[in-house]
Amino acid sequence: MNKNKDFFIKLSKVDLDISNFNHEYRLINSKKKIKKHQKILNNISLEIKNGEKLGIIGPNGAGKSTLLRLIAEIYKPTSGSYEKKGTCIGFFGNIFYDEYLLGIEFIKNSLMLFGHSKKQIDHEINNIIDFIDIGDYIYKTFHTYSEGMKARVSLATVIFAKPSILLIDEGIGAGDRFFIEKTRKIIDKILFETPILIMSSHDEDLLSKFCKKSILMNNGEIVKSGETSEILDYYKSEIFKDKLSN
Amino acid sequence: MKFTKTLIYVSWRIAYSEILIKYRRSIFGPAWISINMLITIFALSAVFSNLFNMEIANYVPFVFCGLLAWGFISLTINDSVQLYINGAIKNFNFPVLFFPLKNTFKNLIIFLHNSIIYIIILIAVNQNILNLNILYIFIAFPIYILNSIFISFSIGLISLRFRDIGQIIVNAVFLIFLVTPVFWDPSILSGKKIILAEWNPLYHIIEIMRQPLLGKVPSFNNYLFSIVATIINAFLAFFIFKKNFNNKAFWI
Repeated sequence: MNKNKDFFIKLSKVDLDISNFNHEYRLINSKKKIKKHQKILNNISLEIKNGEKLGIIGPNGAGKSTLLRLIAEIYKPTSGSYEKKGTCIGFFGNIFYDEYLLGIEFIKNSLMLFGHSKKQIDHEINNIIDFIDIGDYIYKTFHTYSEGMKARVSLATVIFAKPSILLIDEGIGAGDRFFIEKTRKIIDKILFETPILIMSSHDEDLLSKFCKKSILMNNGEIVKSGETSEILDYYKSEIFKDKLSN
Repeated sequence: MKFTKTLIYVSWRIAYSEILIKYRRSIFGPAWISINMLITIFALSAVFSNLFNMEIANYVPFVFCGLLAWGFISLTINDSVQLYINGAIKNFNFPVLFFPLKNTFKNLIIFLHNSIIYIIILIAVNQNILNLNILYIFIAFPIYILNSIFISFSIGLISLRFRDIGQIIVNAVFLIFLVTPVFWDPSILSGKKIILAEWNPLYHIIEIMRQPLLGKVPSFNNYLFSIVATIINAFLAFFIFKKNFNNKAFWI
């Protein structure tokens, strides 16, 4: 439904500085003096156009998840300009807003919030139920769900929303190995059809499969950008080695 | 515009489902909401109609209409405390009005459900209270809904940021219930104590709903205080929105 439209994301010199958000995040150094600023993202500029799939590579704490949440507008940048065209949804984990909703109600309501019509939802709902494959639990409330079930429902809701910009943090870690294997074809199809995909992951195969280009992040900055294979090699030879030696 | 309609529709559906599910596997289901209300009215009427020397036929409608309005206000405030304390806000950018609307609709449904008792009171206790003045409730409804949205927003975000404030608010609501003329008539006040009613905005907000239900017209002061309170709530909500809404995901 998103084809033949121009979607894009432009981040220009975007900074995210947590000391501006919350005093609890102020860091105290060894002399117990308060450090006022903690840069989480520093001068990030990105331009991603329709049809592009971008991988984000980097060690833990590099700012990958923060950047994705910023693109999803969960966080707001401290400074810099930010432009986006298209519906943007991220899969960051549990998105349940009400523990006392039935699984099926949650999916329908969420898809409506994501801009789908009742007709579209009725057309797709059986596919979604088959995809999630949790039996009668789909008609039970969330507080009876296991963490794996919650992850499956969250993932299904996000990817079946088929946004024009899809953000995936730390790969597709929903459900067990059996679930991932069983749903691989459907997930692959949807991800390939998504106009803009941005995925952060430590899984080299996953990144190589979907993302032609990648960026390497470290300490809140984009260190390098280019072909995914090139970036992965650089990451392993420079940053990974550097971290190991430390 | 289309999205606003969807948002209102989805918030309403979620609020409705939440109430239905809460009473699942119970024999009386959501009827418990009204049964609880009836028990409270019965208990308060039995004790306080004698204490205040009020006719039971006058006291029962008075206390019911007061509790009906107070129930909406107190539930809105109490539910707002936990409104944003939900891990989901760290993972999805929910529309600004999503949580306040959900809270408002849930309490509006409970309010409408409890209104059934009004018919019971008309039939069993005092049918003289019903007249055309009841139409004034249609002025009260928008004021209640707007205040509920603003309060849900303000208290929800403040309680998310400062977790202790939420607990203070919950305790304060009970104390305010005791000092606000909900189940007692303000005419028993004298001297300086009269400020408990005259300068208490909650009393005026209750009155704009209670008086029409009792067949009377709310006073100019009732409307004035209610509208001023709504404007102040709107400014507070806007101020808190501008100051804090962007940071809410960091407070989870």
